Parts: sequence; structure tokens; C-alpha cells
Amino acid sequence: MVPAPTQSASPSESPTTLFLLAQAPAQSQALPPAALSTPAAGANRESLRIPPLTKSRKPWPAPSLSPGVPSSFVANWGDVFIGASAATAGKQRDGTVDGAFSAGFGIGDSAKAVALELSGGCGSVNNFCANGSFDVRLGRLLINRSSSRLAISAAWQNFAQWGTEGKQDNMFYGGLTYALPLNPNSKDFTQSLQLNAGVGNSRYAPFSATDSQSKIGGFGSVGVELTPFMGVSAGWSGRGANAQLSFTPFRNVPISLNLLGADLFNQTPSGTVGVLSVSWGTNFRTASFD
Amino acid sequence: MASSIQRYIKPLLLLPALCGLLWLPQLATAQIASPTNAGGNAGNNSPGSSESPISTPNFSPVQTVSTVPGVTVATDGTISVAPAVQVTANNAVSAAASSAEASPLAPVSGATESAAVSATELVSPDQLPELSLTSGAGQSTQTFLTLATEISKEFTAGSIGGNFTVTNLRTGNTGTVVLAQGSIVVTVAGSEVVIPVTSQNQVVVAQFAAIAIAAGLSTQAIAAGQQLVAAGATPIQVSQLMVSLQGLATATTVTPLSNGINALNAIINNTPDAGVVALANNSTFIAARALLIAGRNSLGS
Repeated sequence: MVPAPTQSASPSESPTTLFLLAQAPAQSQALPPAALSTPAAGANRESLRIPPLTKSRKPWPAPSLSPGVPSSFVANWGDVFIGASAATAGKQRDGTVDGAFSAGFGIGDSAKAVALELSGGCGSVNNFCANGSFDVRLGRLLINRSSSRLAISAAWQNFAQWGTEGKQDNMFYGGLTYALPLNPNSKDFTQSLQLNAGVGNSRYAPFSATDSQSKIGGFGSVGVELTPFMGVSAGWSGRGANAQLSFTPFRNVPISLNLLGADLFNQTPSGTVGVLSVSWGTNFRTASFD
Repeated sequence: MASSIQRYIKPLLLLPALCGLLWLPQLATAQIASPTNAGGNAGNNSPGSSESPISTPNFSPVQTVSTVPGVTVATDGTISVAPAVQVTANNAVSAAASSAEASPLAPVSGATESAAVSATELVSPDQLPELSLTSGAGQSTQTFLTLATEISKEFTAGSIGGNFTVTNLRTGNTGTVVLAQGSIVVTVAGSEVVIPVTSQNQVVVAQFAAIAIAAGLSTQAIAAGQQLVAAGATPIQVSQLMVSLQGLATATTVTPLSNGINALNAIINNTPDAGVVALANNSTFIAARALLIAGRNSLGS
């Protein structure tokens, strides 16, 4: 064993002075033989590590705080999502429940420049994919701090479509979303509050039997996390009042379960509907690609 | 390489799903049921990702949780064990300090804890340590990273011959770092250590010494820690390791033990492959590892 660094009083210094006469050379003792016997440096490295007393645990996936109202936080490069839903008929479909599903991904970076989200979906499960459409959204983060985030977005929905249901309106909207933690200093649950607002045409405007594509209206909502895995939100879709309860039941799987009531006051010809949806969304660039 | 390949392959897994969306069957008249258009004209617009977890910012921090039975992590970050277990851990560290391999750090582990660092602050087990330093009478804090950044600006190749005064962030006492030709002279509380350096490592060793003074490390801890810096570890990593080791044998919680383990693992993780063996043979590394393993093993698995 090589001794510790030599320390002695420097002749010119006080007795408390420590003087390193020389850098201690590499020591060749004291580690278990196994620590250095493996040929690969990676194995050596692993043998040197000490099991930690703690580990980091990711926070719960955030529940949705957008009750049938667009959030302006769009998917960035690496973000992917897929979802399915089932909706009651309201005054349509003779009371038959139907479902739908969709998927999408993002490109670009809304924090550094802009992000573009592309998504598409089938509008009916009963008539499997007999109709559907594609949407595109452009978004940018205007404020990106640990204490708040503000995003702006613009979207073109139904830019491409198919099916036998008849041509759907080209829908456009511009929106803003502001989110902030209500308990920013909390170590485990900072409780997000999220506000969505925007202006759009067609279904974002009050119902019109004719020329709905040219009608303009506004939408807005407010949502808050009640627990790390449950959020409640309510708002105005442009033509009706909506409310939603969202759960993220699995800490390590970014799935949200959403129970949405749309047109709660039965103000539209379609009437009040309930929608149960399941969405999975994550980022494949992170180490925790679930 | 593997992770790079995965990065590009994983998106391809979604292609079948997206291609499925392009299948255009001509079936009976459909009625849209999606949340995008649930109830037809109900105005129930939920486009794209807004229903998924990625539509909501997650401000909640990553939590630190225990991996060992009997070890608890309080909400303020304190990692603790039962008093009897704490005594056992301290005794284990003291016993290890008397061994030959850990003896270089015996004066460090037996000293009082660093005055500038709050015992409740944590070094992340997964990332670059972000231990904070409390300045003044606990009025404000800054991270080691911030401090290191500030100090790095002060110490450059042109600093040789310079005499720098550094303040202990907690106590307000000052120490000095003098960059002489071929050595660095560090003075703390009347105690002086002269560290031989090369032209290649003089600046980085001086940075470590300055951070160490600000963090309240003794000259013994600085003398031992500089060996790791000279071996290639970063000043911030070594200063956090030495802060954790200073007073480890008399600690009141296992927070310093946990911080020390995480800081040591960070040094290991960041050492290039070619330097792993040299690191493993570094006397300060061996001593630090022996102390930390002794404390860790006393807590069980």
C-alpha cells in the first residue's frame, strides 16, 4: 500500500501548515480483486459503484385538464400519443354508443422554435374507420419556466378527411394555454392549474344549421389537479358547456382515463353526451419510454 | 450506439398504426363518435394530444425515495434511520476509518460537519449533484453548480501568481488560494496546505480549493480531495464528496452518507473508460469508498 499524501510542516510556515511533498502515486491495494479483474472498463465501473440509499421516482403522469377544449401544449419531436374513446349517442345514432380512435406525433421543438403536431383518427368503431380525418397543429412556448408556462397554438382540423359521412368543415382555431403550479415549493405535488382559451370557426362557434364553417366563436376552460393523478376541468367548447374528470392511474405508464360530459345543458341539436376516453402519450427520446 | 438506434427505430413502431389510419373502407354511413366530434354538433372538441398526459405540463419534481428498509426520506429531504441504527452506522464508519485503506480520510470523517451545507440537502442519485450551499445566516442558498460556475470565471490560466480570498458561505470566515509556480497554497482557519500541481491541472485544482473553502471544508479534506481532482474528477463532484465525508462518523442522519455514495458514484460514472483503473487505485478514492461502504453495509440491503 502506498501511504497517504505526505504532509509536513513547511520550514517557512507555521506549525499548522500542511505541505504536500508530492502527489501520491496510484495505489495498488485495497480494492477487492474482483473489482479490477474484469477486462471491460464498464464492468470495473459497475464493481466500484455503491448501491445508493435512495432512488429518484418520476412524478405521476399529468392528468388532462382540457375538457373537450384544445390545449395549446402541442406534441414536440419525440412525443407520440394514441387514444380511443366511446361516446353516448345523445340525440344521434338512435341511442347507439360508438367509439373512435386516433394517433399522432410531433416534430420540432415548441420551446426553441415551433412544434408541429400531426394526428389522424377514425371517427367510428361501429363502422370501422368508415370516416376519419387528419389534423395539424402548430405551437410555441412563450413562457417556459418552472413557475409557469404559456403556449400559443394554431390548428387546422380536417385538413384531410375520408368517409361517407359527408364533408366536414375545415376548422381553424388559435389558442393560448397558461399553466402554473399552485404549490410550487411542494416536493411531491405542485398541483397544476391550467387555463385554455381561443377563437375558432365551425364547432368552436355557436350552432348554425347552415354555413357553419364561416361562423366564429370562442372557447375557454379551466382545470386543476386535485391529486397527482386526478384532475377536474370545465369550460365552454364554443357551443356548449363541458366538464371532465381525468385520471392517470399508473405512475409509470403515461395513460390517462378521461370522463367527459359535453353540452351539459343540452343546448345543441346533438344533445348532451358522455365520453369515456383512454389516451397514452409519452416521449420516445427520454430514457423512460414506457 | 444502441440507444441511438433505438431512438430512430421506436418511432417506426408507430407506423403500422398510422398506416392503419390510411385504410379507407367504404362502409355504411358513419356517425362520428370521437371526442373530436362526439355527439356530432355538441361542440365537444378534443383535438389530438389534448386528452393525453403530454398536454399538461408536469411541474411536480422527481421524488427521492428510499431503497433500503428502515431508511426514510422526509419531505424536507432528510434521510434518516432509527437512532440505534444511526449509532451503528457511525460506529461502522469510525471502525473503517481506523483501517489502513481508509486512514487517509480518518481526520476528515472524524471532524465536524461542513458548516456551509445544510444536512437536509440531497445529492441526486441519478444526475449531477445539486447540493446547495447556504450563505450568511441561512438567508440564501446557491447550488454547487452555480458556485463552481462563478469560481471558474475567476480562475483561469492567467491566474498564476494570483492571491484569491474565498469566503465560507455559512460562517463568513475567509480562506485564501494562492496560485504559485508549480503549487497552490490553500489557507483555511490558520491551517495551510501546499498542493503540488502541474500546468495542466493547476487551474482545476484551484477551482476545487475555492469551492471547498466556500463549502467549509478543512485543509485535510482539501488535501485529500485534490488527489481526485488531479486524477480527473471534476471540482464540483469532489467537493460534494468531501463535504459528505467531513464529519461522516459523527453524523446525525444518514443524509451525508447517501450524498457521499451518490457523489462517489457520479465520479465513477463520469470517469472515462481509460481512467477507471487509475481511479480505482487512487488513495483518496479507496479511502472514501471504504468509509461509505462501511456505513452503507451497516444499514443492510
